[in-house]
Amino acid sequence: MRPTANRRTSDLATTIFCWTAAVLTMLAVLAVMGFLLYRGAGTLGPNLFFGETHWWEAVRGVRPVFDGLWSALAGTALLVLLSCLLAVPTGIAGGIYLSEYGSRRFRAVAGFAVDLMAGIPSIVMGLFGFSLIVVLRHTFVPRAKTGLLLAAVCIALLVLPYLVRTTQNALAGLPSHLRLLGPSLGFTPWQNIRHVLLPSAGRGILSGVILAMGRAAEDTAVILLTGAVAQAFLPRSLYDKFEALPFRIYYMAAEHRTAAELDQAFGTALVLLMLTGTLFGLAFAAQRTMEKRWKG
Amino acid sequence: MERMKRIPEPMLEIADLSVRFAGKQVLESVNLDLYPGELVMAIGPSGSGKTTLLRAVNRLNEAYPHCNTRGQVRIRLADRWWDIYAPSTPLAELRLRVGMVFQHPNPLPFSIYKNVALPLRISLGMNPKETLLRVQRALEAVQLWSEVKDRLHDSALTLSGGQQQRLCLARVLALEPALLLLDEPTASLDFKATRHIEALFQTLKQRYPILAVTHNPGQMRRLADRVMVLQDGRCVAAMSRPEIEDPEHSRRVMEAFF
Ligand SMILES: Nc1ncnc2c1ncn2[C@@H]1O[C@H](COP(=O)(O)OP(=O)(O)O)[C@@H](O)[C@H]1O
Ligand SMILES: [Mg+2]
Repeated sequence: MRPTANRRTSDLATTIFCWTAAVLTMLAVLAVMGFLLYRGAGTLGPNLFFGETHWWEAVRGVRPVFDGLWSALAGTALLVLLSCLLAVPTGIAGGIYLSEYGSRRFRAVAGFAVDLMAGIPSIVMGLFGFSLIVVLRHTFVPRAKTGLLLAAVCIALLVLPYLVRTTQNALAGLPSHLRLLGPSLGFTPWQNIRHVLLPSAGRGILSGVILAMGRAAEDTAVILLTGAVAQAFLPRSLYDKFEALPFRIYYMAAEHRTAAELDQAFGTALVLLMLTGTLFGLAFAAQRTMEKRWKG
Repeated sequence: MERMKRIPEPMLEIADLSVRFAGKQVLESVNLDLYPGELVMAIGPSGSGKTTLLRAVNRLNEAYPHCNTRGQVRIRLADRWWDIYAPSTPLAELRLRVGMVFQHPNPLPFSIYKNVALPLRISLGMNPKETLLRVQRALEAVQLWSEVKDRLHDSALTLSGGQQQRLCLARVLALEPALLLLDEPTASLDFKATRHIEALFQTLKQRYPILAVTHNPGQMRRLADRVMVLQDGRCVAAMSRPEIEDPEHSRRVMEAFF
């Protein structure tokens, strides 16, 4: 009698605990969004984006935008795109190698390195990028300076471990009956990965990409040291300085003098959220399209 | 011609095969010849090494860590003998010619059509038109075509267990293998689906030599031309068709080893 009652109590306690945790998470998200909307929604409008500049001239980059976040939005979008372009293929390839090709020993060593890398604080990664430029300037490239490309490389390094690990885990989690099927049908190891394992692990890999994109969009410490500045212009090349949304939020909040200015920072934060939301949507759509083509 | 008929050559020769996983002996000195037109069945309790025996024929055991295989497995393709474990044997091509159906239906999480078409495209490099024809022929051969012809692009996971297993068989037949390996192919199916698939095997064995394993004496009696009894990785008894049909004899053998 007693053990059963005990089990029932602990069962009930676990259920309540999990339920509470889930609800609290949802409440936290809603509270943050609600607060941002409450403070920032009023500022949303063409003026927040483009200030006094005509939007078409701003978008084409022919005229600077002095009191709008346009240059920051474009800078962050470029940064995320560029760093994902560098990190996503590399990270997925690394994950495939670790899961499918690497020996047990190599997997342990490289896996440890990946975990170490995931633990590097972003300010350290920024410092790394900064010192890289200093070294380059004293050696091969005297005119090297911080800018979009350097920031993208450092952000790519920052998100790489997530991509490697999620890809590796998504592949390693596939059941063995799926793993043996390709070879039994005469597939080479790479054909098996390409046509059977990767499509089956698509969702898991997507979650890594989304995590990476979110991290790339929000990180401030890295870009602070590698090329972000408050500026009204769009970057004209990969080596140019750029402005970014999280950086803009940071200095607007830090230096505001009126409540209206602080609201602008909240509005900017809303825009950042919408940007990452859009990027997630795009990644999801891309994965769905590929899945459809794969499953056809 | 006359002589060829009297002494046919086997399609598959397993000689002194031993398999170990991480030092644990799973198969020990197994010998077996498989002739054209016959269905040989290995029967034995769970864990006796049946699956390992089949996987030794297409070298799938090597997908697992710490696998050590000794002995010889040879297969005759287009009147030439290939040593399956020789380093010079092209492994992917060889596996193509040895069709394997697994214990549990394992359709890819793709459409019904793509399940059969993908290996044709990838492994044989077939063009879409040929592929379509082959897929239809294979699905007809397993009597699935009429059931799925209007829903070829639905997910294969929407099929019933028996249909899924027939799909897996079609996927293998489409590649036109030289022989079939069946690993308890009806173990997870209900009575009706089992009988349906068994009937298919009866017709298929005219065209393909079949090496099947089962733990079900009833299935053995219905299908097997020859039987080898496996126990703890060793072949402990063999039966020919007349012995299988003799209920007294086969019962005695089964009771001795199960
Ligand atoms: N990949 C493997 N690694 C380690 N041991 C294995 C592996 N595959 C099979 N075995 C062992 O070999 C024995 C026979 O397995 P198996 O061939 O699957 O038997 P059956 O198919 O007759 O049930 C079992 O004891 C099992 O634990
Ligand atoms: Mg088995």
